[in-house]
Amino acid sequence: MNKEDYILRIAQATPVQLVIITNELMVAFITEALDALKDSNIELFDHNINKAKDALMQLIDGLDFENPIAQELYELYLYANERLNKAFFARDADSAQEILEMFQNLLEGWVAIENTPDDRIAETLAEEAPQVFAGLTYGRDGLSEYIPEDEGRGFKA
Amino acid sequence: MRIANNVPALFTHIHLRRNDRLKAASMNRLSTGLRINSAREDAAGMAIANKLSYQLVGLERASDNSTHGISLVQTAEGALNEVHAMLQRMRQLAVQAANDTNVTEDRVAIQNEIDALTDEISALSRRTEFNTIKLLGGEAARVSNVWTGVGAGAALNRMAAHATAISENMQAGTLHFNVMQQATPAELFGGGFLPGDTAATSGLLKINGVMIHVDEGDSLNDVWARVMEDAPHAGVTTDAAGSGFTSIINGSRPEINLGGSEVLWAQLGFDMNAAFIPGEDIQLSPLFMSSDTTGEVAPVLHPDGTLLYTADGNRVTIRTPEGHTVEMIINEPGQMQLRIEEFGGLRIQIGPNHNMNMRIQIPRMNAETLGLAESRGGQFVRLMQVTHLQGALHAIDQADHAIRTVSGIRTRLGAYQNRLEHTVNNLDNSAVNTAQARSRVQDTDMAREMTMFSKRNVMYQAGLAILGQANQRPQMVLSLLQ
Repeated sequence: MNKEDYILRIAQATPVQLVIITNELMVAFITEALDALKDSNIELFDHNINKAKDALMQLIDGLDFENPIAQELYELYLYANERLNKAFFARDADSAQEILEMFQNLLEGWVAIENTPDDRIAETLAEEAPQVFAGLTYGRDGLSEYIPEDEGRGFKA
Repeated sequence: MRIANNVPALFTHIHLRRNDRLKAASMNRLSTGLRINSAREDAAGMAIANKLSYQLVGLERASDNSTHGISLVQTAEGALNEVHAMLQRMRQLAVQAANDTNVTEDRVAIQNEIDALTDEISALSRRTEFNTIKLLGGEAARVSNVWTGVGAGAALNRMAAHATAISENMQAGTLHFNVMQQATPAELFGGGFLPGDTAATSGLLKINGVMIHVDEGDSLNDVWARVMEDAPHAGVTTDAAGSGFTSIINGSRPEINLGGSEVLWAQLGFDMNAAFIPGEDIQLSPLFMSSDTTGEVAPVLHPDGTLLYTADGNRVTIRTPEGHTVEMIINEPGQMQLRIEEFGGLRIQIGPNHNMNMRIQIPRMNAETLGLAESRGGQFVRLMQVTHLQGALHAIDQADHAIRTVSGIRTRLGAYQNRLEHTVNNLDNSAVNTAQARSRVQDTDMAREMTMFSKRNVMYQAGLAILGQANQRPQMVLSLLQ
């Protein structure tokens, strides 16, 4: 895995691309874990399974439960975490392989909609400047302008 | 200044800013703010902290979502599932060893596997960590300490005894007891022979069913050397002075029964038919519980007046009248108090107010606390000994006890997980106890179906799917590369 490539992609990623990258990293970490297991390198195995779990946690963090698809994915992710724990403690390649395939499948889904043209989803987070919309930004209580907090302004590596 | 002419896009944009939305005044949901703290942040703990010394653990980074709590609990669950599987295997092996069609060699092979599993349990317990917290190492346990002596002379004494399990809902308080009698081993006195003597006949020497063959004319020195070597298979030890046999395990269960050739035993200085002196389990008297809240000091008694505890060797299980249990390992005699604190465990904030938290308690779990081994003067003594029949029968009970302990903690973890999951997705908490709230993915086939189903939904819903999942920060994704 080429870190520089990933860093570059993350810097320019749209929200869905971040999801794609996270799924790719899941697949990469589990693949490396399985290789490490074949070489009986338990430390490397442990390290990569833990990284896969970290990536999984981020996917769970990124769920917005106002959308029904979040609940389905949540169920899957919880199951995946259980299997990764099983893989870790029992040093079981089959459990890890199962989750590898799961995320290879899910990845295909996200890649298929990567270029969804609908709207702002296609803009990169890094490029967003504060946006002010005259006439459409007044809050319920007053006429103050709506300026989104610029947490995405510029991307620091 | 930009003017949007695509109103739906504007709303999409707002939805993307999930954090901003949560800050909006119209939010009427509880925040899913999550902080994982340790006993260190408990005010009551601080007051007592200078009297006690216990390990303090805290997570360095505060997290703003509940998923870390779930991950922690699932990690512990994963570990205990594995321990449970190993204990089941050990029970199976004990049952196999208890079959009298086995000869000693068969049982030795089974013992080796049991020993390997015991070591594996300890190793696994050490590997179980979450963000550097050793979940099964006692760092997430309820705090308790043992004091020996009474009144002004009382002193903290870690070596005298320690609690290995405390019921989750047990109130803080102090258990007062006097160890009248420590656990002792079974003994059979006898032994002693003239160095130059030889065996008068061929025959067998049997100790607890373990057999040693003797040929007429064998030097008794050689015979005794073989007895010493094989004695551990019989669950006993002896030494060169021929001063009798002592059981390795303490308590009332071990036996020492000789058999085979009466003549040969007599030559070695033993009366084959003499009864062994049974060992004693630990005895506590009296036993009182003083509760912090009521201040009351009450004896821990059965309705019929006998003390509510069971003992196996130097392990004690105490049951309070309210139904709570405390398990302890006691190594010394004398007056003691077990001080059970209110705090300990990992506290997880699941709501914005101070009292909206839950406490996760996981006791130390390793070979010792599960009753599979004990530390005696720095030596690691294995308590499951299946190389003789009586030991194998005992081992079945030992395995059952350990399995019950692990099952109890797994149930506890399951309840924690349910609660945390509902915090994450904000389902109504009244649904916690009913299965219908969750369609749990439980097996490989279901997972495969669900994966395909979700993948199709992602592709079909496109924009909505993105809103549902694509809410990560670039910085967080970047951290995965480090």
